[in-house]
Amino acid sequence: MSEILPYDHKARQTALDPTQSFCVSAPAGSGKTELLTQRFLQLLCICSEPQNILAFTFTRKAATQMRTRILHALFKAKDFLSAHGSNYQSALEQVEDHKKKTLILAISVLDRNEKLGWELMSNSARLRINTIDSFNAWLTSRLPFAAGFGARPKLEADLSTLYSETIQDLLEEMEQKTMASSNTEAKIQRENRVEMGLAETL
Amino acid sequence: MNSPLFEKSDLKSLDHLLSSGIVVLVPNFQCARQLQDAFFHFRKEPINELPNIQAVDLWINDLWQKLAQDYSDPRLYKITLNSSEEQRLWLQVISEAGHDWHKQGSARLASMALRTMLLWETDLSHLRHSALISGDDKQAGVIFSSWAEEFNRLCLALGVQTQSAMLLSLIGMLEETLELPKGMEQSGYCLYGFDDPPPAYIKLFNTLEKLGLSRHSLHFIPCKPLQRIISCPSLEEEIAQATEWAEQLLRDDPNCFVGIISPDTASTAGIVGTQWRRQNLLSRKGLVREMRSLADHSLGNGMLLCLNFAQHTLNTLEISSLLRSPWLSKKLRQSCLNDKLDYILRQNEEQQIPVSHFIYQLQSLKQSHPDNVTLIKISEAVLLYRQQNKKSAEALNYWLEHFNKLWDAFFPNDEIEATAPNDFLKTLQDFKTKLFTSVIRPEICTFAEALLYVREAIFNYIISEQRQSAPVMLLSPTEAAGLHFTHCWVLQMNESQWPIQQNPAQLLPLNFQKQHQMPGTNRSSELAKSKAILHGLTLSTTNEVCYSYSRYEDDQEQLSSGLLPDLTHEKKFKGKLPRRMHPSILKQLGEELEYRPDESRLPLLPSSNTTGGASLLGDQADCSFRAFGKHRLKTTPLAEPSYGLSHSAGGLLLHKIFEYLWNRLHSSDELLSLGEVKLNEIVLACIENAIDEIAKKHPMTMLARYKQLQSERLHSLVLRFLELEKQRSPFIRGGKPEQDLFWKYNNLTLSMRSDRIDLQEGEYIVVDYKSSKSRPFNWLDQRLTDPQLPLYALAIEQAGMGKVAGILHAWVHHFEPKYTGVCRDPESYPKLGLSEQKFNKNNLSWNELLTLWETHMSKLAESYLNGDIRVNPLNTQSCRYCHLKALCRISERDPDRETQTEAAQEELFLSENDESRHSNNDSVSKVTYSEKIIKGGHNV
Repeated sequence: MSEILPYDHKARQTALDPTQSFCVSAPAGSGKTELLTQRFLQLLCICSEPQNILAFTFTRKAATQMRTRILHALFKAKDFLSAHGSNYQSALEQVEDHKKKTLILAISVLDRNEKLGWELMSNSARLRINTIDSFNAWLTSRLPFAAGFGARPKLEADLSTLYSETIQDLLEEMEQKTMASSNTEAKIQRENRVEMGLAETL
Repeated sequence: MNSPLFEKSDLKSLDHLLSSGIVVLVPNFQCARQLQDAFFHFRKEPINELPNIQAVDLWINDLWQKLAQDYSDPRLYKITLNSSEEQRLWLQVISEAGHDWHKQGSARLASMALRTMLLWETDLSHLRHSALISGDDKQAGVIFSSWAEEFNRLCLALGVQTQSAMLLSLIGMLEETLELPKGMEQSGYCLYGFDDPPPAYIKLFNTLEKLGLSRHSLHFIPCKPLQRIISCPSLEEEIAQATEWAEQLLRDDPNCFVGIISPDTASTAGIVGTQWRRQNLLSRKGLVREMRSLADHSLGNGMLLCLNFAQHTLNTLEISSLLRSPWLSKKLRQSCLNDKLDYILRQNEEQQIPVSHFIYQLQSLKQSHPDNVTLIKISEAVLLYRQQNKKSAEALNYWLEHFNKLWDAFFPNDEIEATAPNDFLKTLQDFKTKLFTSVIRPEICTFAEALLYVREAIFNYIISEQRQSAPVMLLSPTEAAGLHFTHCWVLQMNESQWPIQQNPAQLLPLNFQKQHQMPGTNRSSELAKSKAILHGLTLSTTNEVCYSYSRYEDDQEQLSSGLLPDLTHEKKFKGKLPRRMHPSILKQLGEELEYRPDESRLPLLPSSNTTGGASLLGDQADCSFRAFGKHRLKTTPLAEPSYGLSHSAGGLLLHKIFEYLWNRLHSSDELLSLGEVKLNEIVLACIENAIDEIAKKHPMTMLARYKQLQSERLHSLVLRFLELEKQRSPFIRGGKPEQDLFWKYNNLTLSMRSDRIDLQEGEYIVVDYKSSKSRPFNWLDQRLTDPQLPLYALAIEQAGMGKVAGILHAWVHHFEPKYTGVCRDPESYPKLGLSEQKFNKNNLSWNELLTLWETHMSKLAESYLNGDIRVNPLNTQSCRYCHLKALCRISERDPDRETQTEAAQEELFLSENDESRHSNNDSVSKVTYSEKIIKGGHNV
């Protein structure tokens, strides 16, 4: 099925060249993820191991979306092949142009998957599509000596408890230095006031 | 009663093996317990001692002890460290290495790395060699081998060894002595439930075989359970489904044994655990001793909670559970002290409370209850404990004494003896003794370090307790190895979780690990392992295996694992529905909202005012609910902002022009008699008047330049349309422009205003101007969505004004001005013939049409008068601009409608857009894309 090619068709095709690097800048909804999916599939066609390709995103949402798209493309290609058998080339002509490229690439990946025994469909964890944060975390865990962490510390999203503990420790230390011993009840009440005040401040 | 998990023939072969003096070695305690249990069921008669089914590590320890009795080799004098002691020693090594690292975690990693090395039969010389040849991993190889050397030196100095080192020593000694330890009753061994044991274990068994211990096999008949795949919206729902399922199974059959398998037990344990503990009321035959961590026992857990008094805040529920512990509640129950404290702590419903607040409350209660010894003890112990917290480094025993005082206050010995069965007090005392006398421990340490030491010790202290086995178990896939189930639920079958990801040892060079085929380094073998685990679960589950996965995590779509069997995915959702949920989610959940028919209200009162004119019946035809809401309840949509002149104002402007024009002209003859200049002059004057009138209402929009542009556009538009008018048969004005008309049905009177009525050969032609595309007309249908012109015709006839000969839409388009409609004499109207064929498909005569309209209008009016409020939209277009969608909730009852409406909108937009491509010149005030969607076709 032929249709009018988008004006940036050539640029899109060029961006799939695995021998070159590209910076793709385009507005929302223009198909950047689709292009990245295609490039990822293109790279899968030439790499020896799927985990040798690394795709980064900044959000978990985008990483999941990207991963889902690639897997969907592979599953669709698998369905397409089982529906049309070895004569799928003629059926490809009926596919809309913008979907055809992804389909062709996915078919090539399936072929490679079969030849090299990747078992991508059941072992999709081999696709390394991460957020940059999770990649960093993985990297520090793989390079404990170079990262200087040893075991990777637990990532804490909410630091408020730590801030609170730190300030309370600091104030206690200051109190111990400046105040002589006093009766217990007064001390407890003071501690209460400090904690409540800090909790509000924080 | 037979075991529900095993076939009789399976247990016969087990009995045969055990009777022959063969030890059955299984991967873990649970597995051993299950087989022992089944054996008790099978034998039926009382058995004095446990059958010889053992967890492999315990058996190896036993072997070591037997060797120690036979030989005086110095290797046998070494103390074998438990994992906690091993990690403590590693901690010392890493601290001395001077790295500013996360030491606890690194000690754990180092311990695991060395264990992996030893079990995979590699030593430090291999590691050093690998570091020399592999540049990338040089740093890791060199550093870790120096650490391991230091660790081994320390072990040697202390006379201790790790579990894995003990295994290798055992193999070495067996190879040296070339005989089995004396007192080994077993004539052979049998491994059951192992998927892929590490090379060191295989070597041990090969050595034992060489020494005469025969190897036997135990195979059970593979099960053929029913398999299902459950697709859930979220992980929470998955867990809820699984636990509910397990509860139901237990209700139906108390003898069933249910496994809930999760690759991430840390995140699922809490919820599943609560559910299954609630069900753990069932008795089982057979005495089983269970080994578990002290931390998992309520007393051990309480001891850990007490230690938290060093923190600034505590979990309210945890303090509450401590106060209500069986050992404390009896003492505090006098004067309802525990209730009072509990109430005080929880009255503000805070999850966390400051410890100081708790102490303050204890102090206050102490003053009011000076005779309660327990309260006084608790209060003083906590206060003292917190004060000691501030001190600098002390000897470990100093801190231990300190912790002991706190525990003694919260867990009085006399109460423990009275409430905890199975000589637990002795176990507890043993633990404390071990704590004070452990070989691997810091001598001088700070409070925080001592606290860490004690916490770890509690977690790593294994107690042997006689208790009933749990009928529902939450297990990781590897823990489930060798176990049998009647029913099994495999959670989290998402592509991100299955195959199970196993990481290689972090502190060892990757190439080194790959070279020695260590676990987690080969993805294909990991995949094969996951497949084997799932296959194993199927083979060992008698009745049913359910696989579940979540379709969403937060708002992200998740995919199912590629390892799922090829079965239909059932969608289930039994949780509480949120109050308002998007239809597409409901559809995903396979759930529908409750539908309660509510289709009529009170009939319209005769005195009621009716507004809306012809649109009332149009709305009634489109959807009864909308007509009711709009005309009886008088609901109106919120005004929407628009740029420039709105569509309705634009339409009104055109109407006004024609109103002025036909006020000046009285007939087609007069139109034809005007010269071009004169006609231009009249049209321009009419346009000017109309623009001035509309400009009064839109002063900010109708500025001078805008007026000029509108004037130019309308001038050309009107002249072009008048060219069409000139082609008509002669007519005269039949009434004044914008003539008022009324149509009555019972107590319903519709008030309308026609755009124009022409008189042609003594009969009326009703004309309505249209300036943009609108929905297709269906004048023959029972539900007339555009009843305006038919109603005008009926109203004229009903009023006795005369006969109507046609109803026409006058399309005032620049691109193609035309008349469409139906009339007696289509020849009078250029291009009308085609249109009539389209509208009047049944070739009805004019009179038949009038009768048909009368019938249909009456039915619609009747339905409105009767208070019909059914939500019965005619088609997807009916809901397109309806402002009552949130009230009728049609989208929730029919989620596909939303998509269809969107598709219909898209289609209509495309057709409009297509048309606008041809009529670009018409539009001075171009509406934006979104405005078009919002406003759509408009009837002027």
